[in-house]
Amino acid sequence: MLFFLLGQTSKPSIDAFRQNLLQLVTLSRVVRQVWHCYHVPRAHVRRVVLDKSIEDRGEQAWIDALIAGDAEAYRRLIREYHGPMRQIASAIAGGAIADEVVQEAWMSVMRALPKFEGRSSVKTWLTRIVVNEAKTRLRKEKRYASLEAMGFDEPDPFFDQFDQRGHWSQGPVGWHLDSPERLLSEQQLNECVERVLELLPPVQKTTFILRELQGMDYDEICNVLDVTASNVRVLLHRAKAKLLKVIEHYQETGECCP
Amino acid sequence: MLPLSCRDVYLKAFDFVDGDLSLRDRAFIRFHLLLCGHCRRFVRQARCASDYVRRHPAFAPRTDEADAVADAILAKWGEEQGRSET
Repeated sequence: MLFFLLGQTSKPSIDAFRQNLLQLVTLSRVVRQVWHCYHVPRAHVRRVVLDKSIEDRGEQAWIDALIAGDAEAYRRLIREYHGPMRQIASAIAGGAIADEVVQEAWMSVMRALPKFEGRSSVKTWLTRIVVNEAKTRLRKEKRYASLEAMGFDEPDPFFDQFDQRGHWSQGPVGWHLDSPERLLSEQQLNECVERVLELLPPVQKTTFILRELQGMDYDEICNVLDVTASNVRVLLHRAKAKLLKVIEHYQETGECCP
Repeated sequence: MLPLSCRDVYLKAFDFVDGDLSLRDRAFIRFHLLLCGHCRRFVRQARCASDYVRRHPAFAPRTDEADAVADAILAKWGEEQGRSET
């Protein structure tokens, strides 16, 4: 049966048997690599989650305290969510006015809290408020263009590496810095990646932050950004591909991309 | 004949790494990866890059100023409440 599977129909010699065995070992290594190395169950993906969900911790009492106007509960809300909200404000409206935007968003939160019905998570609710506040600010400054209209114009950074049949015409280059730890140890690369993320179109950047850095679900992202699910996937793919290209360029040349 | 081309795998690679694909898509990709070294390398790099970016120190939300911001917002809120009462 084994010989049949490996394409051998007649009785093998010792050499052929050894060769078959070697092929089998190689095949089993590849199979193991594919099943174990590349399979990352969703639960194990490390994410800097925006909240360790206040609701999940059974803190309805805390939400009730917020609705009742308890100052300490407000303080805790701000302490937990200010950083992530500022990140989102900065992505949409720009770093220069992010502080003002997020402060306005907090005031809107305080005004709206007594009416919070808990139909979405606190995280989603706050995110929607800060996104709307940032959009309002951009409209006031006449810098607003529909979020969905931005971030699709650029070509995919890897598409020219495929031939017409969709096969790699030029495969990805090998990396000498081949682990997250080794990448993190490269200060120049860290600065470069930070700069490239900063330069992404606002909707790409916001999608990336919400999904990758804050662990938000696709449905929630569609909800807060008013973008379709397929567009969220495209935006996220473009952002990740661009960052991957930057890392690839650094691995090849030791320099940040031009 | 492979059910997915390398470009198809490329387009789904990040979702594959994050475990965001259906069972069917995952099976097709695993089958493709068995046979394609370029795609195996790309998926490995995509996974490494994702882990790297999530651990990048500059991308963690800032928490150092939260207390000062909380004080400022609560003070502003107090003023607003005071104005509305008078």
